Amino acid sequence: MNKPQIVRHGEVILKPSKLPTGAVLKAENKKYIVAHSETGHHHTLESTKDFKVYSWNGETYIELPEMGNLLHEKTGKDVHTPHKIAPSVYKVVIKKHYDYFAKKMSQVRD
Amino acid sequence: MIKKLTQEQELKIPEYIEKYVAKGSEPIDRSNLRELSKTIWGEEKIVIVGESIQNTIDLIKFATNGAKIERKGSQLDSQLYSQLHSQLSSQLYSQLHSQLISQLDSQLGSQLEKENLSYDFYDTTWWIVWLGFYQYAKYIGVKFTEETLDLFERILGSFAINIFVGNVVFICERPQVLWDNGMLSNDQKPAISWKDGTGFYYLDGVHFEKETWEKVVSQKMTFKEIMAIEIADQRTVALKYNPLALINENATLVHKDDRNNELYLIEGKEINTDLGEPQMYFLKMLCPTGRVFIEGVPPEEAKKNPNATDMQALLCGLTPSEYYSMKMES
Repeated sequence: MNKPQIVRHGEVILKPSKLPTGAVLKAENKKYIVAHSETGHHHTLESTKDFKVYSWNGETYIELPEMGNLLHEKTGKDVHTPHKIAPSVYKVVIKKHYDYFAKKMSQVRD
Repeated sequence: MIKKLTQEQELKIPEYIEKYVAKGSEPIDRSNLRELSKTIWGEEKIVIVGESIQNTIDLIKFATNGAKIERKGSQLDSQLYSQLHSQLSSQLYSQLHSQLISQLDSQLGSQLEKENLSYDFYDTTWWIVWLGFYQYAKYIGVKFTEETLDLFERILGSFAINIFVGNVVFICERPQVLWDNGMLSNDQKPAISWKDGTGFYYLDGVHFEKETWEKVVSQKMTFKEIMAIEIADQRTVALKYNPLALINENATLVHKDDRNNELYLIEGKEINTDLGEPQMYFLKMLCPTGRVFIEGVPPEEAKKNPNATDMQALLCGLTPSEYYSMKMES
């Protein structure tokens, strides 16, 4: 799988995108937690080469120069299977749901 | 006179809130307890640290042989002050005081009462709100007597929840605290816990006895079981954590697709009246991990387009065509 495409990993969606003008570099590493989990079951992106994480207008973008792996840091049951991620720029989207109790859209938490 | 915050200073406020909320669950510094007790009370006290509320109460009972304990008597512009109060202190107050301190005090108070102990206790967590305020004020240029501010911070860092028994001060270690959106909440373990394994269970800021909490987080409660919970706040949270109960007993299937998405509508039921929502739409979906998830769908969107696939795409932040074309899903 070398062609960038939309990937869904639980509540995390990586969407091939263009890096917005004015995006601010906030991290550069070989590993990045794409979605934090209260219980430590993070969704992480890993690569053998450093990749850049940008912030723009409250959104996160990842510039991945080499193949990466999208992983679920969990053992046992209910683990999301890993995905190979093709080099590209991705917009990170966290799935939402409508909370009828709070009467607003909220991010889904795993 | 400082009259206005710079943009940079204003942007720092959330950082201070996060830092001082976290202080409310930092382990106490036990290295200078006796020396600090002399500074506070003018005489050195015997200081005994309990590892949890339960452990502290057990230590008191052991030390007093169950005897009853006697209760002892015991530079900013005003507009900016209001702004800081509403943006910084009130948020710290709302999280630390309304949630953590009130819960700790209520749990400690009720446990001491249950043990039939007359008591006099003081929880310094409240003062962390002020410490956060003072430290932010210092950051924006307000002058403090460094020595006094430092002593204040050291006292708060060492004397957490203090129970006075004659000349002895029992200190309860600060708990580990799990927050979710500013509320005490965790569906895996007690949101307030100590290293000795004791703790208190919360979901969305609502306290549960362990047995009820276990039922709620099992996500296997029936609608009837949920409605039988007497405390309204607990019932509301249980409904949220057991949405399948609603689907099983109340909902009408509106649309289903070939990607395991089902759109349900609930209307004309008690829950609609309770939440003031005449029509409530939910997506039921089978996750590739095998779990069934239920997620709320914005009612206005679902009314316009009662299509399970399109609503799933909406929740995923994708267009319907992007969602249809997505092949990598787990």
